[in-house]
Amino acid sequence: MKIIVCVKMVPDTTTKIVVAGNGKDIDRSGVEYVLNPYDEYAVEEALSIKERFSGSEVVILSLGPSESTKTIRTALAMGADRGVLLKAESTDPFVVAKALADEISSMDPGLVLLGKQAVDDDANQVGGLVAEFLGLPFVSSIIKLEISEDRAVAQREREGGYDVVEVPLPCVLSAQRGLNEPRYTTMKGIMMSKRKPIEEKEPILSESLLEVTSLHLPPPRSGGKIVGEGKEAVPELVRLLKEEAKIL
Amino acid sequence: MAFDIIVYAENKKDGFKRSVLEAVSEGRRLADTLGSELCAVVIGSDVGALAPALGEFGADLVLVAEDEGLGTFSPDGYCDILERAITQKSSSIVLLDASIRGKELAAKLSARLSAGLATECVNIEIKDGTQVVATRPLYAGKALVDVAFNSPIRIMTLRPKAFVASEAPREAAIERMEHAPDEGRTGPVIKETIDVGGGKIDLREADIIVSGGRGMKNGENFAILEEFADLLGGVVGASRSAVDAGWRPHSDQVGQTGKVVSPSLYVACGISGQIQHLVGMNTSKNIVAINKDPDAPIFAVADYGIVGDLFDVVPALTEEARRLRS
Amino acid sequence: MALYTEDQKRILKTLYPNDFEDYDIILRTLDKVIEKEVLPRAEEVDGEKIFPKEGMDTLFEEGLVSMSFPPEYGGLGLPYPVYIACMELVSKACASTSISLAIHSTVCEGLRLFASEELKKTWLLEKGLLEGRSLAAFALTEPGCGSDAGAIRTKARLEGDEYVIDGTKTFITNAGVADVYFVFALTDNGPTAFLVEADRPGLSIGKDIPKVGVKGTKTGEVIFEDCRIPSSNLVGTEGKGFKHAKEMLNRGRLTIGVLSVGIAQAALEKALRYSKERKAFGTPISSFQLTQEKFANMVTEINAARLLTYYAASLKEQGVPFASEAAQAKLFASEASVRACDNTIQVLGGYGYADEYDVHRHWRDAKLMTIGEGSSEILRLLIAHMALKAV
Repeated sequence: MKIIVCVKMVPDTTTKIVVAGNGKDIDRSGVEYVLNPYDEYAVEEALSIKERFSGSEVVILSLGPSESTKTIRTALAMGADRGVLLKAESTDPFVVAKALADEISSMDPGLVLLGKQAVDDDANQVGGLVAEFLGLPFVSSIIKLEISEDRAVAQREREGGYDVVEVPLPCVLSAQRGLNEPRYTTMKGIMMSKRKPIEEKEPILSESLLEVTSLHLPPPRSGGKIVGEGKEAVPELVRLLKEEAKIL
Repeated sequence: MAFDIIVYAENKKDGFKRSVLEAVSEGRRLADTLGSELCAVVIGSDVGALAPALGEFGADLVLVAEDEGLGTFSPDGYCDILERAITQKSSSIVLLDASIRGKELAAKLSARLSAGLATECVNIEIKDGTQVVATRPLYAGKALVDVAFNSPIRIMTLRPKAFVASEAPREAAIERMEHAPDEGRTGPVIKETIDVGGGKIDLREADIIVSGGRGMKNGENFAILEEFADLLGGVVGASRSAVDAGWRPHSDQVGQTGKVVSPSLYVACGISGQIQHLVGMNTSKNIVAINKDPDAPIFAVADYGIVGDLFDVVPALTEEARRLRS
Repeated sequence: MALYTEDQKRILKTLYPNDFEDYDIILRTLDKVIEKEVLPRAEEVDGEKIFPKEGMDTLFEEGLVSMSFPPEYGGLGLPYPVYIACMELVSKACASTSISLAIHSTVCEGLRLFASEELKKTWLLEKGLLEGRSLAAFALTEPGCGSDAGAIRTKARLEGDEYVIDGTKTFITNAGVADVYFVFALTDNGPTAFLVEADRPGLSIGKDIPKVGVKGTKTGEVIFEDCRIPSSNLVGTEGKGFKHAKEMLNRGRLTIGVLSVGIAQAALEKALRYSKERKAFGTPISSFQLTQEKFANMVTEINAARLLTYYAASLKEQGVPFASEAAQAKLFASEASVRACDNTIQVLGGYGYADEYDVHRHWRDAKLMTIGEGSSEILRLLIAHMALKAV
């Protein structure tokens, strides 16, 4: 089975967010980049399917700047077979998904996996867009997956529970936290990943449908007051919640 | 009559989630600003009776797509209906609740209609008369970005509790939409749907959340939070420490790698207030913190704090709240 | 990146400008693994005296112990300084884990250098010492002799095609958890090295030796009473035991040197962070000059120790003599680490001394390093002798 995993290079989640001079992006100096954590679940799932279906191939696909090869390499070090980098940048999920879908359409996949959202823009769209462009069925936020040659049965998380969804292959699935525990890359994996090919392409991007006009920090929350210590402070707190906050 | 704005009113069995009504209200507000009308779409097997409720919150027109076959969620089927509705009514603004289904539908519509999509919006403005600018969070809420649209149709999913559901009653006109059954579609089929957590409200929609962290010491102790939450009509949440320790399920987690919540009241018990947790709850209207450590970072964002042992304070709070009730 | 420091990055980049990218990825990955799988348990490992097997197994799986061994042993042939840099990370998180692995690795090195092909195949491959499927211990020290290794009394008497070993070893790290012991005993031809499997009749583990630091390590007595081993368990040549021990200890000193650096770095960072938050006389104590003086000394000495250690490791990698440099590295690093930890406790004051805070662990761990694997006194004599010989 040929499994394609779409991954994104994103700032590490501990990055301190500072607005850039142009007011439309974050200040990128000193930012550490990592493989999008949600995509890691997708890579892990792909690798575990590969282990069950002999003769499978896991291809890592990413759209991003040339530094994204590092991210692809991380996935290769986990055990994926080869990578494809679409060297381009866009903050519009529509544009990204279109480019990814164009590339995937020439690859004839059995399955397409990706994380449910990227931790930088939290857009949660690319999976659904890619599926629609490819004319493939899509299931988002999966927390469990069973694959056979021609079908997938997935648990899709929803508010208050989950749906058990059956879908034919090929399809597109987006991974949610809890799907699996991504394996650590071993030193051997890291060194071997050097020999795995990463093809670089320069796609022509479609027009952006979204335009960032401003990036800013949310208004800071000012701390309030310490009402008191221990349970003696409870009556006063309750009074404040009732009369000041008008919440009880 | 121009129905510039269309809202997908995702329904529950017997009504609408508050977040859906928030989207309808926002649609109403935008319609008023633009001098246009608001259309709501409801889809299901037995939903006709729900239509008037949408009128209460400002829908001028409700399109009802009702059919046995629409009883279970089918992304293609539902999307077909929404696409037809948007096209028929020449709508240029499409709003959906940022639920999991809402997000799936929004992405499909975006692809089909080549329409810009902004997800999890927390604010919408009309600029220069007709330009829509949506504000949405980035980096788990550590930043906000304003986006403008370059497409004729603009789609937005709205974050629960970022908007206010307010009544703007009118008698909504009702139109039935024809529905052709999914022919030859091989999309995802829901075989089963399982509720977890006794059907309690999702954290993102709760008005009151009582949350526990490392200070809870074990899973059993969460019972004291449950008691307090029940009394207030709220739900229990948890920090990542508590979830990682196996005391609470991941669906209870509030924070960067869990849910971002915005209740009217968030009570943080035994939670130190690491940044990864704060980004998940710092848009709550009121924050109460209870912690033994006076230097805990949570106190810097809490509106009210008690420095003390939560095992003394929370039961005392429960008692006091109960006394107030009676 | 919790553990991997900018200083380490720069040294590796200087040493290996062309391959730095790869080593950087390895260290960042290891950092993540240690942060998740070793660091969180470090306090408990020490407090409850738990042998950190799970953390060690994870590190084995990562390939830590085999990384600098050649591919024929399942290794990656990575340069020794990169291994040293990795061990610094482990030690920064948990000294008990790093020592247990270091001793084990020393034995692996000894086998690689001196053992017969048979023994190498058996232990480095089949029994998986490099993968952690078996654990090893280094048994030289005895109740009656530590620094005066020449005074060992354990005997190995040849009887037909067997050796019979009698004697007692003490302060043996990994005693009781090891599957095999690298033992030094006197034959007719002098001190000789042997491998003794843990399940050999006649080998028993004596009392556990409770210690004040590195409490997660297993330290104990190993007693040999009429313990028979096949003559094929001889490592190297009869009579060459101390030569073998010296080579092994040279390498061991590189690791102990970097372990000291890791411990000191952990202590330094805790002191720096604390001093910025803690206020006295209305101002953070980080603004006090006497505190800053301590930091200056610590930073300088730790970096010097680190550089000396990585340098000695790169000499080993180049295949040139490095015994003096290894001794210098271990000597300086261990003593600098003790000073750094002492300063840390002083800066933290009551919070440094109080049991509840996980700071005194570094202070207690550091002190072992000036004692074991060549005490400071012995190393000074060694360094002086080598310097005098060279002139």
